[in-house]
Amino acid sequence: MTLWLALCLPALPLQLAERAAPCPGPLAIVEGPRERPLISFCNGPARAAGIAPAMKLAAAQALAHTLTAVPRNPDHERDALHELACWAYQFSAQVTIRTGAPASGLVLETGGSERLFGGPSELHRRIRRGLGHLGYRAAFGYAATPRAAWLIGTARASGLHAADARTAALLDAALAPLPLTVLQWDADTTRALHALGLTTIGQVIGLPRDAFARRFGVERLGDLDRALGRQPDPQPAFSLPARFAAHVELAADVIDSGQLMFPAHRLLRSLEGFLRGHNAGAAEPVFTAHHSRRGERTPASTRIVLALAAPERDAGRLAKLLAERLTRISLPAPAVGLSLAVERLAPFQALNASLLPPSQDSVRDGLDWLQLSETLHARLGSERVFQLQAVDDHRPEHAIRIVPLGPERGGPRAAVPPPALPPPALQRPLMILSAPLPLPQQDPRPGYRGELALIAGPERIEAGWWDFGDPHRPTVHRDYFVARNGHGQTLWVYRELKQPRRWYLHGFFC
Amino acid sequence: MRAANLIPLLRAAGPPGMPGLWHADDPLATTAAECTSSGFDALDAELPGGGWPQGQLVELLPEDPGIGELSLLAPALAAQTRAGRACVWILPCESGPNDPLQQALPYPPGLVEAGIDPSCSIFVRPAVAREAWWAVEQSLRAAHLGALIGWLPTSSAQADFRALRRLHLLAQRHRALVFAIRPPHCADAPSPAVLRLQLACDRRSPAPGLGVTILKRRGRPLIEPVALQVHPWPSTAIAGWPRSGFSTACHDVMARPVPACAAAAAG
Repeated sequence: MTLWLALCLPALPLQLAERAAPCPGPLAIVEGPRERPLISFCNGPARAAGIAPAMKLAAAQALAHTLTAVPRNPDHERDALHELACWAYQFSAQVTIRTGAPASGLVLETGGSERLFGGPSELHRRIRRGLGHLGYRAAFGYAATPRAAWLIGTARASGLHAADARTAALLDAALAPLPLTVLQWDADTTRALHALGLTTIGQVIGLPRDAFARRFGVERLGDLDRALGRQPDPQPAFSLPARFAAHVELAADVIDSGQLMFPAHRLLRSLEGFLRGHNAGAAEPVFTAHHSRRGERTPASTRIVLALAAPERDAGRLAKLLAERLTRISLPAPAVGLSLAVERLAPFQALNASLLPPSQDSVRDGLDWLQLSETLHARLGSERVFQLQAVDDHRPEHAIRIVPLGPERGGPRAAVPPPALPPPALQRPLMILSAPLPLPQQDPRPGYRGELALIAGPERIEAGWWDFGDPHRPTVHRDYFVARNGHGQTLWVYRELKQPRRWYLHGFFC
Repeated sequence: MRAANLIPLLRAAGPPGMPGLWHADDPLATTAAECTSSGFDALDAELPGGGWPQGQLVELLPEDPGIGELSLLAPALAAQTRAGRACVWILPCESGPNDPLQQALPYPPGLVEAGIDPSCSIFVRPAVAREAWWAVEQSLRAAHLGALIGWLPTSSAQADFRALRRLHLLAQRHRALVFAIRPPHCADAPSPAVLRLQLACDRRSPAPGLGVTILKRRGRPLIEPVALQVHPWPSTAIAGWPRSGFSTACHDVMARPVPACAAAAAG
């Protein structure tokens, strides 16, 4: 059974302005000519101050001097609806965008997918909660035809009482009490019908069809027929774009990068819905904080790239990573907008929550391990979080390789094949100095925090001739010993074979 | 009464195990935590549960840095990596004391010899103390962690206690081995760790080894330090110091195979 759900967002421009941060003071959306702007929407505090739509901005500012006036931007509204449609695609394969004067919104077909989400009430709850996370308020309308659902939703968005019409049989009864204005016919038609004493849809439906079509046009009759399910009403299909881009305007300039978290959360929720619709994950979400142009030196925007080891779509996890990144970032100029873009989608493998507790020998390459390395990397950077590899080289300082644990390398490496060299004559130390430390010498004995006693060795290492004088990888000629000092420290020391035969400390048998 | 004053009394009580007489100090407290063998039988015998407790904070206080604390932990870390569990190493802060050992890196060939698979380990070199505590905390939140070994920074005794207490509570959520290596002066400060070991050079035994004093454990106190040999070398120094460069050569470098990378470079 097909069932259509209309999501009507009343006063969408106002909702968009308040989405990034709730505005406690009076706020109004203005449009019209630049020199004579008119109020088109205003919030509760503004209405309480006596401001009403169609008022001049100058008059409104006289009523409330703290009024924040935001110019209306139709492009943003269109983008926001598009973004919302991408998000809603996770619930339905049939999504249509509607724009209109009192409310804009979406119409989706939910009858086909309600079983998937555990019943109509569960689906309703999910959509309502999801919209709340995105920062939108919407009126819901259910009906057996898309036009009727939209009419019911619009009526509710403008504060009227309306009943759902979940089956075709209920359509007449549900639409009959609604006022004609919800149809959004042109003003002339509505005025003419009002002059005839017709104010509700029910009264118009009761008129003779032929006479109504002759007087008001066939398309008006067709509109009513489509709403009542007497005529098919094909909907333009919405196709999901392959890339994600969303934007939030910040009501106030943001200086502290931590304050970006709230709008970022809205964007991440939207991304999560989009990715669910695609059944994909994002490998590299890019946030961009847009700055107001204050000076020549300030950049237009700051890019914040979240590099992930594995594709992710969970808004909570992404928000956690972003929070870690933001602690390392300071904005060069106040931000006025935040956008999120994902250029490339990656196949996503959801980790199912297990019924049983995690097994005793959980695999180390679990998602958990990846998350840990991502978290550490996001905050500390790749030079501070790394892995160490043994390298096949006789020279001790070249037998170690530092592998930064960056996202481009994925998670921690799989086991490397053990070095092909035979075991060395002397045991190797557990800690090594990156640069050997020259030891103070009391001829011929060196000391390190006291006198040294040699307890094993020597092991001669003469190697590296094959690097042919590379200054960074010189040939070494050394005799290594294990030494112990009076403090009980066991050290790995060597003596240069070449003059002046200096002693060096190279490692610790910790 | 101070613990030191108790020692003669405990000695006078005689060895436990007299028939029909129950000594309160007889059994070591059995811990609820699972334990992993430390790899040293003499130490296992003194640790409640017979090894390092899992999911509990264990504190090591070496008298001098590098006297054998890593070798003491190596068998347990090796067992964790053999089981495929991850180890996280929180290395000393860069801003810490300017001791050469604080700047040293774990050496993969040495780790491999000790049985520790470096590919199972993540190393973190924090810049400041705050980063170190943060990294420890994040690591302890990971469910699949096998072991964490951290050279933890110190500030005031009170702040350290609070931070350690937090770690201890976090550690209890999973089964990881959690070792905190702290400077020796922290021995006097209170600590929430269930096991605190003081490591010192053991000069009494004929072979100088590692003397492990158990400052705190569940059960009766330990009176004598446990002497362990964590390094394989004999106690005696090799005869004399080399005088001239080439006289003491014992390995002919030409007899050893040339490594693969060298062969490629030369070929």
